[in-house]
Amino acid sequence: MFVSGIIGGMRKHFAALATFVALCAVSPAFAAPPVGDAASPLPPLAFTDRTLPNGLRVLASENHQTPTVAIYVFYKVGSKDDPPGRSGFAHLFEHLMFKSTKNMASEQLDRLTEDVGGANNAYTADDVTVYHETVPSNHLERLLWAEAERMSNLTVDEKNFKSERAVVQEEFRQSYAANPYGDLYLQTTIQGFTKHPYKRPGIGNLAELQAATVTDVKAFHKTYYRPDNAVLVVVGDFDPAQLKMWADRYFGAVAKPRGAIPRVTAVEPPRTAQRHVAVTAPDVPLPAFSATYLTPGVADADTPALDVLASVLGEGESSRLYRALVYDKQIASEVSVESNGNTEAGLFTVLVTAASGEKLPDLETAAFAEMDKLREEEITAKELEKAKVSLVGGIVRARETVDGTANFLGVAAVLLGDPSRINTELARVNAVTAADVLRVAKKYLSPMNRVIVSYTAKTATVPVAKPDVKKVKP
Amino acid sequence: MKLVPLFCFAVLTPTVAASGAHRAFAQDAAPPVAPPPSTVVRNLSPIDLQPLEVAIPPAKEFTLPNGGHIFIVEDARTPLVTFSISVRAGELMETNAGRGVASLAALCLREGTKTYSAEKIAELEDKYGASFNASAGDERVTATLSCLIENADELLPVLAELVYAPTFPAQRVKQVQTRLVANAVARQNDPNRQAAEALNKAMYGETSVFGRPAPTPEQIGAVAPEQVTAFHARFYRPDSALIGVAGNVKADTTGSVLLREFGSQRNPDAPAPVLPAAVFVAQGTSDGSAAPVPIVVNRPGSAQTVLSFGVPGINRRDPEYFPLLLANRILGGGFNSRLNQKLREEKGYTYGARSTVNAPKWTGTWTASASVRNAVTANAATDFLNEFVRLQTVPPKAGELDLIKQALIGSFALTLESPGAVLSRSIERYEYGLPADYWNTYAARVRAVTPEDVVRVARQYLGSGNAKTASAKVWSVAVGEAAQIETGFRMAVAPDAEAGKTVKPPVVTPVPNAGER
Repeated sequence: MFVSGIIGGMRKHFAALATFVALCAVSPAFAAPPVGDAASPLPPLAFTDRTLPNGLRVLASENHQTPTVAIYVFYKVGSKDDPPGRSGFAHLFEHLMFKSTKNMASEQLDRLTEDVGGANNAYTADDVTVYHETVPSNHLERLLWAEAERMSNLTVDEKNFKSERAVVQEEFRQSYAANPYGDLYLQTTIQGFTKHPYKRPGIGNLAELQAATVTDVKAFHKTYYRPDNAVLVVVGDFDPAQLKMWADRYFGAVAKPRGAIPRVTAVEPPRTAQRHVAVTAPDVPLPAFSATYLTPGVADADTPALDVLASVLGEGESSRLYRALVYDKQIASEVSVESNGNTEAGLFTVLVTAASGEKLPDLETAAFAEMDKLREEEITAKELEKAKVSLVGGIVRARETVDGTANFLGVAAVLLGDPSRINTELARVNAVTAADVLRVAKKYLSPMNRVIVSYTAKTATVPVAKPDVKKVKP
Repeated sequence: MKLVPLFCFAVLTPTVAASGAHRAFAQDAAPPVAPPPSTVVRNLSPIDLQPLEVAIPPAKEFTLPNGGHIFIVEDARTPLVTFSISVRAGELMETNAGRGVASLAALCLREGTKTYSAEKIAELEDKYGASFNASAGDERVTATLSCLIENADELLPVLAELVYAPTFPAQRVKQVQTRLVANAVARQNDPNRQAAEALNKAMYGETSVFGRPAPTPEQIGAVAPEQVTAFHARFYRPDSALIGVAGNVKADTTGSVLLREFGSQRNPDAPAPVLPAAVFVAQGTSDGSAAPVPIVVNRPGSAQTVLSFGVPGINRRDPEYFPLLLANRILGGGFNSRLNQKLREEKGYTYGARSTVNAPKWTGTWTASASVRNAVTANAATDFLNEFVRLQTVPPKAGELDLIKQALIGSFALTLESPGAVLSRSIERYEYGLPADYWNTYAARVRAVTPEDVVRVARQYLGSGNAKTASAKVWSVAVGEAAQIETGFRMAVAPDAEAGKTVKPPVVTPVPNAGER
């Protein structure tokens, strides 16, 4: 299991909907139909695209298969926009969007969705913050009203703010501090960039969360939560004329503020030499390391080949690293590889957990030797096919539900820069050749482009602590 | 690709599928909800307020000559199919002398069979874009095949051999075992797991199969290859097999293929194993004047305390299932439940507090849990107990209960979009011996629960309803930095035990397991 930076967090840990920013969902439950099949299960998605006078872009796609509708609001603000000294703020803010507005009580959004058998949630990524609902289609108007309401009329008081800040601090403790590998995940992100604010993990840290104030909240909402910085996506069972009328009525009434929206201008410089960072923590059951390679933004032409490369290296028991380190040499217990693109830069991340008694330097050497083979020789036709089946499967599954389709359409518009990319991603994956994979491996997997974070227990030979159970005598 | 850091509540017994999604609940103390502007109300599309009647298309079912049972759900929407077969060979079947053998056997199924080597299986997966998987749960081991329907004829014999004719090659078993040991080491320090294990151990007793902690790395490492083979021979019985498929299949043709591949394996001569009835450790007092002894698991340096509470509950067939399901929704079964509203939304003590009714075949538990910061451990524990009392004393308002019912029925209906969900409902009904019309009467059963029912089951299962003794039946566990939390926690949950009050054990009567065949 590997957890890192695109998603700073989400509001509910027991939400019914799992949400991924990425186009390519992870660990497919089953394989996709043959790649490039003439009878492709994926006809192009028809959608409409219009922009209101106040700058709000509205993407909509009708689908009457089930009487449900998904509403997604993408705001072009994410953890990279956390104010200075306020690491974790965008994600904290996401939680506050469920508090009261001028015309809604705190958590009323839950009432509007869950009470009718629907669901809602939100997630914060490095580049975007996304709010979404899936409801029976006769509830669409209400939710459009509610989303417009919190875009324009958020009212956060001191009490709500402090209690939600404490919730997010507990989220940090639960997801990172209590996780024996939490520090490794955080440090992988922190060490992954030198200049770009992507280096700040979206979850933030306790001290900077504590420093946040209600004044920060108001300023952040005013700066970024405006119609010309948002994209509304509606997919499912709706009447286009009604949608147009409601979007105009509720969102059209939101004023467009004057002034430009501040944007991150920092550019991450290319890496020029391998770096090695040693991190220790008190309770590390088995040593582990991560290696990141700097890659271009997600819209780049190399992304599909990098996705194939990640799959060949680390997806499933027949993948290169798993087979070599876990299966044959038995020096690792777990391997994970992922290629993440944010809009401006990405990280290709390899994470390896040692088997009992293994030393990290040996493990690193063996892992890098295995990876070097991909810089020298093309992958086999079967490996290429298998990776494509998995990646195509992810795209197909994302399109199976109104919820997945709406997220995909928003990701295409906001992160890939063009909503019609929802209809071309599959072809881009299918077009990848073994030569492409070799080329990107040579281009990105060089030691010069590598940052290693090694992670070991503070004292080398401490046995794993057995829980010390105490009872009082009655 | 990014994973969301989802928090997993460790639950040692299976939760009921129907209680999976979370629902809203309007809390008593919530501020009055501001009405949406009149424009919204006036222009809302009509909302159908008629009771939602849900009818599930039944799976086609038949029993194989060797006792296995087949479920087929026809759904032409997708060309992909997943076949699953489960047999009663899960961790509960292990003896105390062979802990770890169930998982080891399950993970070794694909390491080679009579006809197919591990390499051949991997090659077939590559060739057809198919995948085989197997894993052990509490009671059952489940093996699956996902593939395109046109390749099923060629791949189903592999699935059958995986389950019934694995060869467990020594070298490969050793490798899998090494991996399992490492995974167990990596999991050992997980506080949620420690809390769930401490609670189950306290409630069921550590020698009970229901109260044992997960196998340790040492135990897994000590399993001998012969034990794996013997476990497989004894427990991978065709008469315990539940075989299911949902997707673009035809019941008659797929049925005959399944009959061919899974119908002829023979059962061992020994009678089929039966799980013991679950009995709870006698603690507390029968007059409810003192609670079970609280347990503190010291976890030095812990950033948070995991609080867990539990009481004996019901099995899946118990007539109190629906009242408890609703009572649990109100207590901690969703984001807007009382526990989450109090501990998260009002106090900001936690990222989430929730409760779960575990109603398996045996008598399960009703548990509640949250991770809180160390400094508020005692206050949070008090809040939990107060909510347990409030559930026994403050009935939900009729309107609130109606909302929960509507949400429960609505989400039940929405999950039935997927053919896989329809299949699991059919299997669930069969496995627990529920009546044939069970799912079609689900909505009516939910609707029949009254506010009085909620209070009644809360009193029956959580305690006496008297504020002073309302936590009389509640076991409590705190996993965290003992030096910081122990005294406050004990004072909060069991002041009487602190005062050295004599504890007399209550009478405990075992209940027969549900749906044991």
